Amino acid sequence: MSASKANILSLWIVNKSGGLVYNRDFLGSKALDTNACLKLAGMFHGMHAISKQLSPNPADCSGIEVLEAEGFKFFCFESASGVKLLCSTEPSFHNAKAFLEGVYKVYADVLKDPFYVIDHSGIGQPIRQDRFDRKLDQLIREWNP
Amino acid sequence: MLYSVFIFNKFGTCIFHEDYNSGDQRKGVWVPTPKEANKFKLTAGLVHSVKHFILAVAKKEDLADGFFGLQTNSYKLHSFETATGYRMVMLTDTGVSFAEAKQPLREIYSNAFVEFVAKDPSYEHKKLCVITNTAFRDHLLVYLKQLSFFSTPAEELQH
Repeated sequence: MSASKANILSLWIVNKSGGLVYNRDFLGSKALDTNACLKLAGMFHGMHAISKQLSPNPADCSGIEVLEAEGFKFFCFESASGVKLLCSTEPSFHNAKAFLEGVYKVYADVLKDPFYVIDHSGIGQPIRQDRFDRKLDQLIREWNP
Repeated sequence: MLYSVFIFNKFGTCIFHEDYNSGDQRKGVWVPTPKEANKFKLTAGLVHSVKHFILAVAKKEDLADGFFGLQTNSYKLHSFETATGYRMVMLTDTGVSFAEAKQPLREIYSNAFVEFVAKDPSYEHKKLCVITNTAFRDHLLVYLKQLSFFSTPAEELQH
């Protein structure tokens, strides 16, 4: 499996209450400002929940996994704890699930920090750890050659 | 496999809905029940939100028909919006690719909707006017039945 010329454009991490805890743009020029990202993360959280209701069997539905639009694709990976990892990619990118699972492993390291609070009455503490950023840089180099 | 078709007007009202391959056969003129009406509002709301989400992420003011569809582990939603604000939505299982559903959605619009609804003098492009025309429903069913993915479950489709 190779990413060839396809690129991962941005990454967001949303906690289980719908609050954005991390956002990163990998191509620089198209960066959205933080407020816009916060708003969109909340929107996506709601859309994800509604999408489960439209399923033929709602109890078993994973919610939105892929969003396909003109100009980009959007992927979502929801962990067992309700944390959602989202990324946008080039339209030709096939499946970002493996990338998001890799990010999830790096994220699990963040949780080992005793001072990091995942969820304080709905508000997620933003992830500000150099180690996390560095490990992400390493991961993204495998996917964005 | 095709699960259902929805048509929404530019006001967000669901003007048509039909379930396929579910085992029930609806007879006569379509009148939505309150439970169904809730489902339509959810679908309309979801598609509307996704469209705005996409516009914001792409940082564009207006995307003619930017949203192609979304996928979950149990179903896929395919969408096509016309320049007049009518939206055709299809719910299928995960075996139907977005590319495969593009042309059928457009043909539902041009062959069935334009012919039997837009050209029907009793149909008005107003907020609460739903499609009550049985000729439209019958013609649409004939068209959908000849699609390759109409009743083929995901496992049998070659992808």
